[in-house]
Amino acid sequence: MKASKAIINGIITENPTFRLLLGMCPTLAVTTAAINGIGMGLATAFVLIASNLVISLLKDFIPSQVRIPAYIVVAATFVTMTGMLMEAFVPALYESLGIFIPLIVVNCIILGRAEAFASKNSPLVAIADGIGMGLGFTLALTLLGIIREIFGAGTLFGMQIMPQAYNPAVIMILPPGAFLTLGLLLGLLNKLTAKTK
Amino acid sequence: MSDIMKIGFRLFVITAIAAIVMGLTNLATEEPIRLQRIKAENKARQVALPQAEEFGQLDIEGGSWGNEAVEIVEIYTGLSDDKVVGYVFRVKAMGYVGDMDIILGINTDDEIEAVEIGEHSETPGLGAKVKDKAFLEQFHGKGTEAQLSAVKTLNEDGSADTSGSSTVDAEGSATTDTESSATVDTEAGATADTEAGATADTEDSATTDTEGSATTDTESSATVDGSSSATGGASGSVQEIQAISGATVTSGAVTRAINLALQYYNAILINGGGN
Amino acid sequence: MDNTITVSASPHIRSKESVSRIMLDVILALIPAAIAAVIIFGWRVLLVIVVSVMGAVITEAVIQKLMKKPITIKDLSAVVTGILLAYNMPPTVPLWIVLIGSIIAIALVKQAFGGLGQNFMNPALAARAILFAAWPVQMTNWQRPIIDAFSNATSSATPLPILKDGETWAKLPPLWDVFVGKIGGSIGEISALALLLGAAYLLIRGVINWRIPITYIATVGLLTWIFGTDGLFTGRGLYHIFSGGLILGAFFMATDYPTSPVTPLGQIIMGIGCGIVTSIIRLVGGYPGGVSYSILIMNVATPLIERYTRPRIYGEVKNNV
Repeated sequence: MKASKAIINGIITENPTFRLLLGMCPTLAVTTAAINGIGMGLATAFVLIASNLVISLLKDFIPSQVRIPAYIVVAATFVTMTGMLMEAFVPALYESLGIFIPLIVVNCIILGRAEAFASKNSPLVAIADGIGMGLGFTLALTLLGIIREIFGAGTLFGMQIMPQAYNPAVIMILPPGAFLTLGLLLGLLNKLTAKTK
Repeated sequence: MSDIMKIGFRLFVITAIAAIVMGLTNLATEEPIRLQRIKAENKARQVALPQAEEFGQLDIEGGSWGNEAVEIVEIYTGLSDDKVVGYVFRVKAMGYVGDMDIILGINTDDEIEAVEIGEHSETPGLGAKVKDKAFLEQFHGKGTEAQLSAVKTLNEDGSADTSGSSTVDAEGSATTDTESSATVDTEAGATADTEAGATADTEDSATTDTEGSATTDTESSATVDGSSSATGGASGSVQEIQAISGATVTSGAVTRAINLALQYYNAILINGGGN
Repeated sequence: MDNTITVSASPHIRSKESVSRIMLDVILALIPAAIAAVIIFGWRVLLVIVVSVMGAVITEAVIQKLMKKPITIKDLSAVVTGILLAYNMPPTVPLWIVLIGSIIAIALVKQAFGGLGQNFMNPALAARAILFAAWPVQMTNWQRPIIDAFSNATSSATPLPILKDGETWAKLPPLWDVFVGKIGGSIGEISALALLLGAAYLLIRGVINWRIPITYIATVGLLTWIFGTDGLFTGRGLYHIFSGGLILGAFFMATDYPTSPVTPLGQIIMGIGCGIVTSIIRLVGGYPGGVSYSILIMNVATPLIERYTRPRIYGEVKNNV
């Protein structure tokens, strides 16, 4: 598989959120605002790219019997590093994403891509897959965040965009709003893609 | 056997490298993180008490102050040029969902300087509105000698249940009975209106009543009645805070936390008793 | 709702029972409550009901048109959903919320799952739950009954929050006021008397049977009496029965055909289950009333209940799957 194809694949054809339905926990939990979606998506993308690269490099070194613990150790290392670096140098972002960063370890996208892709492909393509999947995840989370923020708070990236008379529907930034938005988006995307086939 | 040794060794190598990498990262970030945390904490205190440049922690008199629902966590003196310019309280209070972190600054003129909400888990769009400026700015400049009480805003008849109880709680221990009777008064509608005309004038200057409409007036008059009978008309200045509509429990919790800090301040710190 | 099947030779008598006939009966049964609401809260509630019904019917027609399905608004089921939704709103509710609610009920809860009979939750209740979470302030803005506007005997406070907070029992309105509806509350739930009239009609017509409503109400009455605020057997069960949406929910919403079990035992389980959940929410939960949530929860449990109470087909061997 070519690197460019792997990137497109991650963003559209096999979008982790809308196509593979992976990583639902952060998807539902953090997307209360657009900026949170971007932050979580990019943090995950960083860990994904790094862990994909390392696992692809180590694919002949890691014994297949213990590959899962090995993948987890690799992912956990990068997550821990990301957490520490963010807290030290971008504290504002860390404050809003703090409790979700450790959750990246158990995000099934990381483990799923390690198992299904990185361990079977060359480092370059594995990086491309990490970029594609990471961006696809970021885009999906941002989209959810935008919709929920507009309807639930009347703002976009913190700026008031709905008229003052608009009465925000609080449910959209509560957990049920995440499920409603995701369900409707999935239905809409299925409908759209079903037509083009 | 040798297979297991090989597997174990390779896993060990991976984890060892991971440990070393993490250790190095920790070494590099430990100091910046520590500084960031101090800065963040000082920043929160500085918002509550902008005059101060440095903060020194005080011991809480008697070890602890408060109860399960509301408790003082930390107290700091705010210093500027080595002179005490005020105090900062961090109070933990049980909100509608969970514990809230309330930071409150009192200056040396015995006035509330500012109130900040730290960590909390209140409902977005409702209880979380206690972080809004419109709510928090009400506390600025309030005197410390009298307790605060959260009152309902206009068009809030429906949640009489929650606000009723929260108003009672907000009053703390001293005026519980009178406050609940005050709430009954406001429900009476037409009859309370006449009282408003008679008694509200005396109180208008002290309240933050911007609504100025009939319903709000009845509220204030009712509360005034309650307080003056409770305190025997001594100082009589119960200070009102407009609760956030639909989130009276959370508003009450914030008020309660501030009242606890005020009690402590009046009892121990007011004449420089702290240090 | 006869449980016996008569096997006979032709000619067979065709039953006049049809969806629209059943729905018409339900609508007729709901009229007394509407009259009571107009007397108690004024003409505005009629406007709320009309907006809700129009919203539901138009949404149904538009969606069926878009999905190229036969348009079935004549079966009156959307009208019933609209009325029930309006009955679950406070009288002061802004009309745009009513409209959004009726669209949610039909589009999201009913049609998105396949239309009449396919919905897994009661559309009116699900819409009400969504509205309650979205605009909690507007959805709990109770109005004082206008028939008492000139005396100060009755407060706009609904009885349930008072029941929850045991210290203020002095504020409880008299039980008779609660029974006829001279209290604050949602449009259609306040007058137990009017609702019971309608419920009696439905029972006589055989549109609903006694199992779910009676077990539901009895369970709530019993549990709220046993676990009173002053200790065991001190609760005010009768107040709990006649306040909140219990009567409305038990007779008109828990009995909804697609979302309640068809087996007799299943219906009893449904009623008791609703009663337990309602009592738990009322006694220890964060909300004063729990009727709508309890029915929604049991709606979701309905397939499971039916699975375990399904009568075995004659001759079928119990298999250990």
